[in-house]
Amino acid sequence: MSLDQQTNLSSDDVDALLSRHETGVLSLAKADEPYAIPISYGYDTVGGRFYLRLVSTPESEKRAFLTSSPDARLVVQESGEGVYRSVIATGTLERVSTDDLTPERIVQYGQAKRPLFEIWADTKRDLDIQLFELVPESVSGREVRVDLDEDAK
Amino acid sequence: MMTGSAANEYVFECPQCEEQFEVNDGMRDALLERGCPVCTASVSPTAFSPVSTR
Repeated sequence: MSLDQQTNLSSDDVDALLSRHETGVLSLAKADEPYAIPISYGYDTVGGRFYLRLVSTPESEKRAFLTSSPDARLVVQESGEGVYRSVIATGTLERVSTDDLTPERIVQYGQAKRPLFEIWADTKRDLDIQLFELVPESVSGREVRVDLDEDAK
Repeated sequence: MMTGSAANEYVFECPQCEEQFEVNDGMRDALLERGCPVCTASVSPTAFSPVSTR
């Protein structure tokens, strides 16, 4: 298998990839400590924002990283039939309180799907569910094509 | 286009996560259509009460 072609994705291609997926890996930084978790998101192609719903407990490592608008990096990727695509969004993760909700934000959070890894063991009233927005300072995407037929030769 | 600038007329209380906050007409419509933004539960008109009665 050899690298056949590597290209940067256009902004339209980036929007399309982020819109057809709903999960990614969110990495947070606090001083020298890294933290990464799988998350689900809703993506607003008009505003270029990510809407996230995160569950944590007071003692959890996740909570420790969410307390102070941490620097964040979200990676969304897909692959298949010799093509690998990834998008990396970098920015600050900002907490959204219910006082900050607007009709537009409610619609966006309604579009943020809940995959299997966010089916919670406790009842919802016993969980601390917090809303966040990631407004990227930069978004980039790339596509790599490999020659799968070469393996068969 | 919906806006969030109108005065709040209702208190929303989610039937599942029990989150409470004041909403205006536009937010009420969005909640009925899209569900609770916090826990994703479906929302019915009974989840709203007028601000003045509470």
